[in-house]
Amino acid sequence: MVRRNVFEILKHSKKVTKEDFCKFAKEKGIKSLKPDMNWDEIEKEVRMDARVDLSDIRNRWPEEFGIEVEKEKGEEKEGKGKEEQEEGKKEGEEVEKEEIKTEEEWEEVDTEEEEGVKIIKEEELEGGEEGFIEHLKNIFSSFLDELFRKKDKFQLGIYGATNVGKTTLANQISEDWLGEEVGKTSAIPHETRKIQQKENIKIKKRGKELTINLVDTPGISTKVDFEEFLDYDFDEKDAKQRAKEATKGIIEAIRYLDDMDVVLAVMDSTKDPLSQVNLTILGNLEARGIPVLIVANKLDKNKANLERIKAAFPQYETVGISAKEGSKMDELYEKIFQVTR
Amino acid sequence: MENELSIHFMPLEAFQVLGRDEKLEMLVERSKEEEITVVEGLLKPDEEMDLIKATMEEIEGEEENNKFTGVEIGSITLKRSWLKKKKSLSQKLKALLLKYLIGRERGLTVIGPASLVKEVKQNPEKLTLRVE
Repeated sequence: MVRRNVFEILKHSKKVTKEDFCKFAKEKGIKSLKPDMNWDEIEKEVRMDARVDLSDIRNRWPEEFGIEVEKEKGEEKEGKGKEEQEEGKKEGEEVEKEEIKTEEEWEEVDTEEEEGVKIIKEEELEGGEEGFIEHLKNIFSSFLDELFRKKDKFQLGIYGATNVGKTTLANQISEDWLGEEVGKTSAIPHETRKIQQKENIKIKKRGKELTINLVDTPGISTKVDFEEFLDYDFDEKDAKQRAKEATKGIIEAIRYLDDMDVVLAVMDSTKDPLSQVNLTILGNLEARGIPVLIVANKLDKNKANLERIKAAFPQYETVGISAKEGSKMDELYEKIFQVTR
Repeated sequence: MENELSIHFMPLEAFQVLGRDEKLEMLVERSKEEEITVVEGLLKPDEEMDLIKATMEEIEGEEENNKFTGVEIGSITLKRSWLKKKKSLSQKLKALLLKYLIGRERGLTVIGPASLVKEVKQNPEKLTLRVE
């Protein structure tokens, strides 16, 4: 049973209402849920909160999941950690199938999973020692599957110096696949001063699908001078506030780096790429073993020089684009697939 | 002080004996005092990131009359410059042996206050600082 199923079942349950679930969540300490929210919104809130565990939900309404006592025993054997790993593994598969499944099909999947748990139990009980060995083999096999399985969702971070077009790129990606923007862009440095995210973006290419959480980060810089903002018609108080937010944003971006699975290091192709910020970002990604793709942006500009970036960082995969015009984005998606493979 | 520029040189031995926090504190403090520091050696990538973080925290600091606006950093490494040139095999081997003996990549790092150092250009062969 996976978390997705739990919510699918709740969504279609005639017994458990949203009022019931909100009351239950409130008891667990989540007070933000309201009955007028839809199930997707409720699910999102719960998934972001560690106070309600999957098993809590199932134990609260066991008959809805048809698990009762026998299922719980099975869970104890498999272990909670394994269940969570399985959940991550299956989630992507479930999401893929979700669009074409009917309510009845969901129920069938749930029943099959329940039977799967029972089969192991029965073999184990009836087969004596052999059954037990078989059970151990299953556990070992699951462990190997988990070890070598491919990740099905990636944290894709967009990093780079200020004003290289990170948010423009994030908007382009998000608009291409979700039809909505990530954040506001402007010519004023440090426009993005907080991490901005779009979750569950599904990129499709040549029949394959990749799910990403897109993380747009504030531009990294070694300096922030409030006087710089005075040139953009800010008064001193607002300029100082903006500078303060910018410094916090840079620290936040650095802290997020460890959470990334893949990073797009965005560079302005009209400028010298051998800046300390670029070197520091690439050096840190390399040291952390995070795959990186250099995105040479602003190719629509006359002064753009893609070759200069390629020559500066020959060891990295580089793709030239114009995020503003949305050109060469297909090439970028192709490279993202390659980097995450 | 007007028309005066302080450049502090830090040999590798003196820099390497410092702890991580000491290194960062020293570099930021010197920049706050309007001094340029030339370090014989390179910061590790995570030290560079920590230096940026420490710099941001100092800019944000609540000190009265805090005029610190950050730093400019530049570095030049043997790997990026010297080895790329067409040197003879024996020269390359000597360089690699030296690198092995020293235990880390050789290079130079320059750090200065952003109020003074307006730009650092990092040609693989040389560092150019525009100072105002």
